[in-house]
Amino acid sequence: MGKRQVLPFFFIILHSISAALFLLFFSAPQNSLLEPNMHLPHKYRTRRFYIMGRLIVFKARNIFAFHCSFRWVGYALLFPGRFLVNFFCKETMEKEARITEGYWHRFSSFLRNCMFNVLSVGPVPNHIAFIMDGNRRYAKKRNLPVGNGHKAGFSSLLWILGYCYELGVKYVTIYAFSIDNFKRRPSEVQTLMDLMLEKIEEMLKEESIVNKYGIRLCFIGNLKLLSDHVREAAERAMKVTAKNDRAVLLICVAYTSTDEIVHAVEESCEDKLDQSRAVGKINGWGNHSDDDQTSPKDHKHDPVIKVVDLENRMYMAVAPDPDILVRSSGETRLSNFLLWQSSYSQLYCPAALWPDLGLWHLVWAVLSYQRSYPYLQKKRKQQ
Amino acid sequence: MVTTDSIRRSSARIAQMPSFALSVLWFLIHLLISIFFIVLGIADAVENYLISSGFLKRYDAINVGKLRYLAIVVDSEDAMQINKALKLLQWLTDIGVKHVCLYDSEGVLKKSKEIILERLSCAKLYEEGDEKSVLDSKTMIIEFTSQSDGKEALVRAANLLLKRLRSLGENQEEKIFTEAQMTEALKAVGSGGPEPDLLLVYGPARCHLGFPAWRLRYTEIVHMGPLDSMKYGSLLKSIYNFTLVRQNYGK
Repeated sequence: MGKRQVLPFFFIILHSISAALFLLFFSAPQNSLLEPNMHLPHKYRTRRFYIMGRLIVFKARNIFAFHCSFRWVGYALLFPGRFLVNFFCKETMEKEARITEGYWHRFSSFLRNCMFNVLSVGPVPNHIAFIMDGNRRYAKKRNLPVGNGHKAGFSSLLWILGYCYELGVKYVTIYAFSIDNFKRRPSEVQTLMDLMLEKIEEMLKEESIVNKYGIRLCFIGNLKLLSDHVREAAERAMKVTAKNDRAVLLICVAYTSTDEIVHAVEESCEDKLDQSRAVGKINGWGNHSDDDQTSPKDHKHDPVIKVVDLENRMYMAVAPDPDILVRSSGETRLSNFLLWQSSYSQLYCPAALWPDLGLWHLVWAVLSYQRSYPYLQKKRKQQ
Repeated sequence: MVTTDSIRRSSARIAQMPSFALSVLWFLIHLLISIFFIVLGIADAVENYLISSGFLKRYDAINVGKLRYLAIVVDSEDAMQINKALKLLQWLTDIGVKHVCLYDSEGVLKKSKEIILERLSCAKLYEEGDEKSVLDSKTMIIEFTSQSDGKEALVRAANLLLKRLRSLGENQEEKIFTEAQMTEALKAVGSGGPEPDLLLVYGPARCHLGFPAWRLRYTEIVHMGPLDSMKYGSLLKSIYNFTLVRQNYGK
């Protein structure tokens, strides 16, 4: 007889003791065994034992039903004595629930592993990008405040990240906050910023997903637009996880693709100017002031910007182009996300809201990517 | 008699069996998915027939005015069949779309733009001021774009801004690097078309194949299948679904 079978007996016994205590001390005076009844005639004494016997059988049936159905809350309301004992036993009941859950968890991980092994026969995407849309609609559907929708979205994100990294996807990008989202109500923006701060702290703890999969965090976007606390937390997170190399999570905060392109253009222009100044110094042309007439022939040799220069200066230069771009909640637009990088990415727009997105959506995304892989590879090579 | 060699070979075969079994499973899964898509295609064909013959009433009166600018991405190999492209454009004129942008990555449609404009009676090539001009009900403005209007146009605009920066020198007050300035620079280099509301992808994969990034911000992207199997009904359906969409623009 294993541990699992012993426990029910253990708390059946405890429960019986509690029932006995209840009978002795807490039940109505006429049922209490301690109540002196010697003054009653004999027939009433036997009747009392008959009632006691009926009560014990009734309680035994109750105990059995109780352990089959765990409906202890109702009993707690009616019988304080039993409630006290059950409170004491709750830990063992929870432990049993955890053990059963543990078995189920291990079995489902095994099945998931098998499925990922089958998927790995074909090409597995290297980089998946997610637009996490639909948190507010999710909260509205369930009549919850908007913050709860975003919290549910975060827990859904952790599940999806786990599945992606188990499958072998090295880079995952998520669209956490857009520059357009600053237009929302200030209270909502503040809630989101607080949530982000809280979750960054949580991810940096020991037992979080970051250490489990060796994830390096990268915060992508115009971080100057964020408040100081959030920016410092983000920079700290990037520094702490800089050594991890098994997987990369790119979190786009205060990001829009047009802003990224403009920033890349600005940086490339600065680079080219520095390059021309360096060339000028080497050739001994000296510094030109604003009003000097520079001869036209100097400008012919000035370096020009090329496509690779812009690509190297993008915020997203740390990762290759995404293979799959997923947008939840059924909307089919990109909303200013990775417009430059998604030229040859498979787009996938499931109708499920972000907190409802699960393993099967990911599997379907990977399968449809595998179907269009030969075509997209051909297009990428032709570019 | 069993030799060590045959034992080694059979154990190697046994070790390969799991990966062989996995490959078979993988092929089976993809076969099932292909069958599913075939069945879906049949259902689509039935729906298209119903839409084209007018049985489904809701597709009768579509508010095409909401669709100000439509873009179509075509796979370059499919674009070689100009007849199909012409048929598609003819359908669009019938529906009443005013502004169309045709894109294919190699530029095949751009090369054959004269042929297309000749064959379509009421079409005109896009010019700079066309967004604001008032058109009669029959004319359709067509713009032809290719990969050179995508990343390469952004690079040319960047070089224009670099030239401006160089000419301004060290102590400039004016902010050169803003999104508005970038849009202006794109117009100056010749790739400054308006942003499409709806983008239809006619190709084997659901991918925008390098459509100019600056214009793709809030565009709905819909995958229509290969150009060979284009249908009038699915075109009508995607335009109708677009008219139902409501955008928040981030708010």
